[in-house]
Amino acid sequence: MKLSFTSIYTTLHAVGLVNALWPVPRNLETGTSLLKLSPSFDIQFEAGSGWSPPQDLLDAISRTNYRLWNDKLGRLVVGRGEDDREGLESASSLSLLTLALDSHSQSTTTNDDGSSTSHSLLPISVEAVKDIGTRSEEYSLKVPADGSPAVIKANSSLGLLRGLTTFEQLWHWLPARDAGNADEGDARGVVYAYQAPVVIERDYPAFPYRGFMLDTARNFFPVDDIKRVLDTMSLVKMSVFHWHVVDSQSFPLTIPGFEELAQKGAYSSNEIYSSSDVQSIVKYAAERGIDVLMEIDIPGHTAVIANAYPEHIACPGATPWSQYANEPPAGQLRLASSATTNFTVSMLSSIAQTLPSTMFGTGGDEINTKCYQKDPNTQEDLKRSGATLEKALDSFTQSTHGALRQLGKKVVVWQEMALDHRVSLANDTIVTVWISSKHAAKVAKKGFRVVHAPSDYFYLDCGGGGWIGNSAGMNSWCDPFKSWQKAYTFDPLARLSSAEASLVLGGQQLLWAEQASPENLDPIVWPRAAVSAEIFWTGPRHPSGQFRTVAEALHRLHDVRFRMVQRGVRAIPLQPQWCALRPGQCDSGGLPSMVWGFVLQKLAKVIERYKLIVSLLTTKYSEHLGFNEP
Amino acid sequence: MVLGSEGRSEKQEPPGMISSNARRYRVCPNTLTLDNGPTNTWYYRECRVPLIRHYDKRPCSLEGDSSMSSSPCSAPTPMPPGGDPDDNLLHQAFFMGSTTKNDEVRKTWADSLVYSKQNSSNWTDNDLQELSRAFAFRAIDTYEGPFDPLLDFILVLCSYFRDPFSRKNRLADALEHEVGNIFSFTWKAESEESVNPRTAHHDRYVAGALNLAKFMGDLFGLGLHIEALRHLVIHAGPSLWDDSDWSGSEIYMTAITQIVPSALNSRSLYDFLPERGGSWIPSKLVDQCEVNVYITETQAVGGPITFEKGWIVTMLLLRTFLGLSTITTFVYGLWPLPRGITTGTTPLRLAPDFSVSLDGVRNAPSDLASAVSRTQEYLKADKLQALVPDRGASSRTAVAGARSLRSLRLVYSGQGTPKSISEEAVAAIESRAEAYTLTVPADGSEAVLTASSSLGLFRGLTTFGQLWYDLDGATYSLQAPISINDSPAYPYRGFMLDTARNYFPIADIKRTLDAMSWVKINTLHWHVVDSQSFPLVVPGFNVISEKGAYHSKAIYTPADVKEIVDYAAARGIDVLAEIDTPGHTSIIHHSFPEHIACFEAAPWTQFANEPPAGQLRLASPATVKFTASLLSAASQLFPSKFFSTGGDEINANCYRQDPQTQRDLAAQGKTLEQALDTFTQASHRALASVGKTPVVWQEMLLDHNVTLSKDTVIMVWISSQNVAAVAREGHRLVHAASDFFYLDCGGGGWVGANTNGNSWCDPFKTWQKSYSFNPVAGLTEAQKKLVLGGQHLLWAEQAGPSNLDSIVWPRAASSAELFWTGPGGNARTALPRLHDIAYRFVQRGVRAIPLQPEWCALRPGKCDLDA
Repeated sequence: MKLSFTSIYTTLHAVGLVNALWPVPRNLETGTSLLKLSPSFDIQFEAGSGWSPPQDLLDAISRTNYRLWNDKLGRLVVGRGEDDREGLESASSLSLLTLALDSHSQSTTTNDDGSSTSHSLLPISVEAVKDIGTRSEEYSLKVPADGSPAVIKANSSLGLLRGLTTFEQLWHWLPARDAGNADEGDARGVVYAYQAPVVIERDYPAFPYRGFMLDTARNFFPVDDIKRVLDTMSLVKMSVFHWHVVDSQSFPLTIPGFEELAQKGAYSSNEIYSSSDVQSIVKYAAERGIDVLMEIDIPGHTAVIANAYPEHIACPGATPWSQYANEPPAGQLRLASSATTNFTVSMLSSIAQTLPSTMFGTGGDEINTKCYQKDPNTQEDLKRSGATLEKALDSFTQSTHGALRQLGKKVVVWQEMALDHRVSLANDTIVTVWISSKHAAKVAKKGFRVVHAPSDYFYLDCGGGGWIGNSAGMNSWCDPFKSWQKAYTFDPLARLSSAEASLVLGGQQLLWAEQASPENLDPIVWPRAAVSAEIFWTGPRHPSGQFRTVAEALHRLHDVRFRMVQRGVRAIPLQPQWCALRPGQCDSGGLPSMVWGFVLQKLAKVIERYKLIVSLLTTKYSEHLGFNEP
Repeated sequence: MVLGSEGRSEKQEPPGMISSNARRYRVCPNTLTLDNGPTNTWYYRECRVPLIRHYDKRPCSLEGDSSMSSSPCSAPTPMPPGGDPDDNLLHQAFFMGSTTKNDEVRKTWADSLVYSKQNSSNWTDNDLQELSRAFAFRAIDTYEGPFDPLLDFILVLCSYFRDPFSRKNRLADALEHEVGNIFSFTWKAESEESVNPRTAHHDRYVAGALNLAKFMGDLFGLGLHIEALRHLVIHAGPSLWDDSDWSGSEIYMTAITQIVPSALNSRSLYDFLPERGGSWIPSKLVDQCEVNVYITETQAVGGPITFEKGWIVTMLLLRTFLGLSTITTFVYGLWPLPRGITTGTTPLRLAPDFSVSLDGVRNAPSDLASAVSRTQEYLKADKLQALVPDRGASSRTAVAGARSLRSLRLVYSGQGTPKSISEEAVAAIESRAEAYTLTVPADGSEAVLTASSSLGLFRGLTTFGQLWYDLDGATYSLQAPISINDSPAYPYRGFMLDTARNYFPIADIKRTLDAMSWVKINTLHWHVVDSQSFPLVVPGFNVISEKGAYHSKAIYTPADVKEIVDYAAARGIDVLAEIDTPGHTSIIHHSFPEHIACFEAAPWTQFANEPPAGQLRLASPATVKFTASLLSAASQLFPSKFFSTGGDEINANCYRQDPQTQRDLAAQGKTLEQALDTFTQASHRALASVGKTPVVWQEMLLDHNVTLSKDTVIMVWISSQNVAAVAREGHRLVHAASDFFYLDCGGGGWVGANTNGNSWCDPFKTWQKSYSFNPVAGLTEAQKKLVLGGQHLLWAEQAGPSNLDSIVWPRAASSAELFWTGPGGNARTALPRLHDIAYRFVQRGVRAIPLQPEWCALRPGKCDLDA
């Protein structure tokens, strides 16, 4: 009775997935040659192309040039690449990467933009904030083994950026032998690829929305932290930064005309995003291929507005809070008041019109009915208009959404707005599913576009213990911890018909910040959040239709994690370094089979007289659990 | 369920009802009781004793007359005992005795007061009541706090009124009775002298009542007697606190909320309980006065009720009547909480030229001087703002007008020349002295830190560094005067770091040592090597780390070790290094293949608890010798008296499948267990010969037939359930149980190809969980003495420098308090202080995580489940 590992191990090597690319391209061929990066390496535009590169593409190129030489990431093998040293002496050198616009790809692309037919290349920051579903992120990459120029072809600056990102991940570092005791700042060493030639023919995302959500209201995150997150998102080709910027606990966002909200609602005057901070974040993101989807959650999650506008908030600070809100403090916008509706509309419009994205989030989760029942103003407003709370919510929503639509925004809401309330939503409303992965199908059945953000797979804060004050021994509500393995097994199209499947825009992992701050931002997010980046870029399945497995993914995830650390991101180790250097050697047959293996062994030992029964048990479970007969 | 036989019970009455009843009946001091039900419903029991209504003899009016505003009691004319205003002797004796600062004079006036009635037995109960009332009114007018001569006078007087038969003190009884009664009366809503926020001079009442509360607290050594708090809360009535027009409310709320935590947030009340022997009661009170304080809760019908429940009731009351939104200064930042502490309500700031003086320490060791410099640096650089919604802005006036503290004087009270902190930190664990006393007067006069050891002075400096907040560049406290008398409950307060699964650079270890010292942790248990890597360079065995470290730079050279050990010792931390044997040693194979059985045998699950498999060939005489000299060489890198040989998770199958081990066993005619015994004895003998006491994991004692010397220290890790078994064997033990103290649990399984696995010790061990640990559960009195202390542990399969701080802090601080202050702390009231220390960590560059949204951190209690 032995656990079988050989099959996994074989798969791992046979398909050549022991590479360092994350997300793995859909279409990848690699060789086994070593290829050095020439000290004179340069990135140029295709000769005679005639198009003038936008500044943000030039910036992206210089970032790539910098990282190629400064990542200094040793290969994750025993010896950290020492075995490559001899071969590198005779290896070819790559001195040129050419960026080219691929005119053919336009005709074959499935994207419906049809925009870039001319030779004036739009900036990345323009491509990145186009309507979701109309962006072109496709690229092809060829790195010959003989040192002849490498080529990235794409039909947009955004596609070229994605190609550059992949190109960066091909390279590792081996310090010069005599650099022995020098620190990592020593420039002497070789930058090289170990899998030349590399051919990626048409890599493009399976889903356009590959996001990460950050809550900056429960605890504040300075602009620099957000920019570091954006850089890391870009490293794994994420396309949407869902910014849950304000909530009941604090209002760090400066909204033109509504400055008092932040002045009175931020944790301190130092913990505010000024208008120029917001613009700087949005620009930084867009230049890295990331659209900023800002959310102002309404009508719930707004208690803090009472500090500046008490007239608009029902049940502010009502206690016990557990009856009036899902989290302290209680307080919601008086949705039945026309004054409040007007206030909300102009507040949302004021901020939304400063943002280039065509999406804007109005939240809509966790509306507490009791809060409104106990609010005399709301009851009076309802009585006067003769509306029910649901009807009032409908008009409130239509007003706010209408205003945003007039500004050209598609509205993004949490699932309750589509599933729990009788609210008329425009067909192009995007619904973010958070409560459970099971609810995605319901949303799709209603014909809305879906973003996957289920707590049972993608919530990064689960498993850290309850944060409510006196909750001794309580676990977090969405216990246990959502391991990267769990997230990796998410199937975006589960339970969906093919028509419904077309409504899936993608998905994201989320950091709710009740127990997070700049101190643990990196370790709680990375490398886990990279997992959904691969799920929604490469798709969960092999071309053969089989699901990708965590066993195949782990080594690549290690690699991108180590690269993050080299770039100053405090991503956590997923295993002892011993394991990271030895793919597959720290695998088990999965915990269930470990447990069952143990149980069966004990059974065999203790009740030898019942050998027959035991062998029956073993036979019964062996297929399911991956046992072989001795 | 509690029902007074002579009264009726009113369950969860609104305050109005209580007040109306209280008008008719005197409220017994011991009426706050609990049922044993889940909701801690509190009951009110009434006595049929009519209210005593003769307060008209008080020396100055409590009602607001115009003279009070300028000089409330400018010429205190204390009520003469005996009720005779013409009795000048009594009058004078009381006045003089209660104001003099001279012990001799005080004694003289006490004599003349008592002997005015010939002797103390001539004092009737009524006389004592009158005297007590006089004290109460004197306290209402001008009471200053624990340094007031009034208190000293009472202590002297108490010595006359001991009853040798009942061991009671008649004056103390009368004081408790009368002072409590007056206190409740002062607060009674709608009575003629009650506090009404809408009347002109209500704040005078509040001030008086607070003085009285402070007095009661000091009298009973509590800072504020729990009864006093109850009366204060109930009888003030909600209207007082809700009235936002009343500018005084904030001031008094501040005062109350600073008094309350100093009494109740400290462990003093807990220590007061009879079963704890009243150990905290200041000795002078016990000796001179024998105050018969009873804790109401323990008298409840249905058996004693724990302190925690009493706490909950108190906090429920506070919440119900005050609304915690107004409690803005609940927090003070001490962690671990000193075992004896009183604080006041006076603002105090550090003078710009504040300095720490070592004049009182002759031949001060250089590491103490360095500690002083670090403390001064923290005082300047912490810049931690108070954790209140306005981050202290509303205290601006108070801070601006505060007196300045110009110096902290360190006084060495030990024998001879002080040793260095470093020497004392690594001395034998039972010989270390960490106690200190610290007083910070409110008037700006010199603060004094006294200890009989450098280590104690260092602990005191650490405490001093946590007292201060920053506002516009001013470093201030709102809680002067502060008086602390502190020493640890347990001598071993540790943190374990595994540097083998992933490597941690020296800078990370040093930062961790700094953070440890900030919460008075005194042991770094360094699990330095394991099967995955061997970063420790052991002289004479250099090849092990050359071939076993992850990288040529991922090592700890002897110089590195010395740097770490010195850095630790200067911060009061002993480094207990561990070389885990005979398991967890696979990596030694790369340099000494002959000593390792079942090297990287597959599947690893059958040969080891973690990959890679491989264990020392314990039955081989050559390996036994090798191990003994390796341990001996390694242990000499560390000055500690302790060295750990591990001994966990020995895999028998590995040895069964190893032909050489089987041959060795056969040749010697030994069983595996016998070989293990020989192996262990050889290792431990080698350690003993270099003066080390061995430390082992629990399996060596509980699962194997191994002879261990009696002084061997056992670490319990598998489960807290195993503690009693270890104690029964008579070994000293360290708590390191995975079900309470493992920091890595709850992060998902780390073994690859494992889709749905959670960590083996799921779920995550919250700080509340470890904080709730009882180190002596199930132990006899004799066994309790075997508990050295305990520690949090970071196994580093999924940890590295990236998440070291965030996975460890502030959680590991919870065991620091548990083992310093002692168990029984309440997580609800600890949370604000834990927030405080976590924020201070961040200010000092340690990336401690937020335990809650900042909104909650600034509003203690508001994010409780029942808030």
